[in-house]
Amino acid sequence: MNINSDIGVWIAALLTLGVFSALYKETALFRFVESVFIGVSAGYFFCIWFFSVISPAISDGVEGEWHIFIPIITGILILVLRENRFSRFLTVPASLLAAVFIALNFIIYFRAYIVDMVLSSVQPLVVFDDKGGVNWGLTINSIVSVTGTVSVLIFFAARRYPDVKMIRGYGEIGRFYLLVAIGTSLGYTLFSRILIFAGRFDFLFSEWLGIRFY
Amino acid sequence: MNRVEKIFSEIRPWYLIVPFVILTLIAIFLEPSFQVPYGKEEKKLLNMIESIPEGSKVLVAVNYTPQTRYELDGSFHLIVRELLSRKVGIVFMTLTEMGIETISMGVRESLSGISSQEWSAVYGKDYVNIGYFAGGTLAAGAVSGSIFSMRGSDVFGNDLKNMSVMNGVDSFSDFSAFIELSSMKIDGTPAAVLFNVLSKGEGTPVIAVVTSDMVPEYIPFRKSGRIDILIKGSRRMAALERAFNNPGISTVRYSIASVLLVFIIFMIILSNIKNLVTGRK
Repeated sequence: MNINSDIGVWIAALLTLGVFSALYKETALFRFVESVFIGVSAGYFFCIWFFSVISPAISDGVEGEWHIFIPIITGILILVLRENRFSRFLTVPASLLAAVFIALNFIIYFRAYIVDMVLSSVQPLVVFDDKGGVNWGLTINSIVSVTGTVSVLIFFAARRYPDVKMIRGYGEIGRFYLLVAIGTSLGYTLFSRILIFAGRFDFLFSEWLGIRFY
Repeated sequence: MNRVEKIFSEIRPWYLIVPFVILTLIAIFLEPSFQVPYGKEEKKLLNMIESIPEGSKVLVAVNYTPQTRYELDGSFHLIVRELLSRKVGIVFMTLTEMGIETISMGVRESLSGISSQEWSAVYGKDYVNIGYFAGGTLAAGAVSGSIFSMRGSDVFGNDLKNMSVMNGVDSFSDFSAFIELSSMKIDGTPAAVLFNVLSKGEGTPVIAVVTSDMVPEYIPFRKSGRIDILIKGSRRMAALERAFNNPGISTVRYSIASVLLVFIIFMIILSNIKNLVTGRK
């Protein structure tokens, strides 16, 4: 056992124990740690944003790139025009920011989320290998994929047309696919959270208390 | 209420925490090491890293926070050591505010224990940290095509143009590869996809190493071809270490989590038995 003498490690360890105290019940210590976390995060984020985004932008603007001041002034206007007699003009800077955001993201969403996804969904049901025989692995994969895509789409249609038996029947298959997807997603999330939990214990015992059995 | 029902009904949720904590400690101290066979993706990443010529530059985006370090650090160390030992320059960046700390800690740990006789890495010559970029800044910079239009200095304020690691690098297409280590999406989109769509670097391989909870978010983009290589969560990270013939902390941490997951599954089965016995739905 070799307890760490670093003050930062001690603070981190005590705050971790404070968070873990909520596993028993919500204690005053947990509420204190929660407040510290929010306060420190806000301060840290402000510094990062100021020195990484705002300050370089102002420097560039002063050095002649005047167009940088357009988003800066727009942002300031959103803060200034709230809840006063000029608040009706708030829509002008807000719509400008929204328009820029949409313009930048339209390319990404249209190409990556619509074009690519549709293209990758359109595939042959029977896949052949180089020798001309059927590649059963990829063929089954393809059939499962196409069945899933179609049945999930029908599942949402079934909510609109609940009286059509065929749509409702296929919709049930879609529901099965959705449940499998949600279950898989939850399983992955659980695994990730277990690792975070184990990570904190590893920190407490190995780094803080210096206990290692091997 | 019969005797069995009484026993089950007296179990409080936090009672389960105690055996879970004990098991966590046992797993950490025993350091299990389950060997995971590597697959096509891991082999592809190994071949890709081996094929990068000496003196090339790779852009590494570190989009995870210190709390998810336990899962991603192993792959970070592995990739950084492999690249630097092959004399490939690394430009680190992050799209999350906390990433600056993650890069500093990760690089420090990656280089610790490396003797100068094997290889050495010098800041500014072999690697550089260009810091945090907001998603919008990256998008605007990628559209303009020049990295220097986004950022003229590194995270410490040093001029990037004076650093030898930035020689021959101006646009995103000058990098031999883009590697993202991630536990989150940036403005709703994986950063690897953001880079691939906006960078115009059509030939630059895009690699994503993601935490387990991000796997469902990234798989569609791997299938659509926006991401060339995807290392999916802790299990595949352990397999990646196997592919590089270098089992390390990813393998151990995956094994610890696997033991704990078996315990949780056991508890879920037990809780269902409890509900069955007590007649609760």
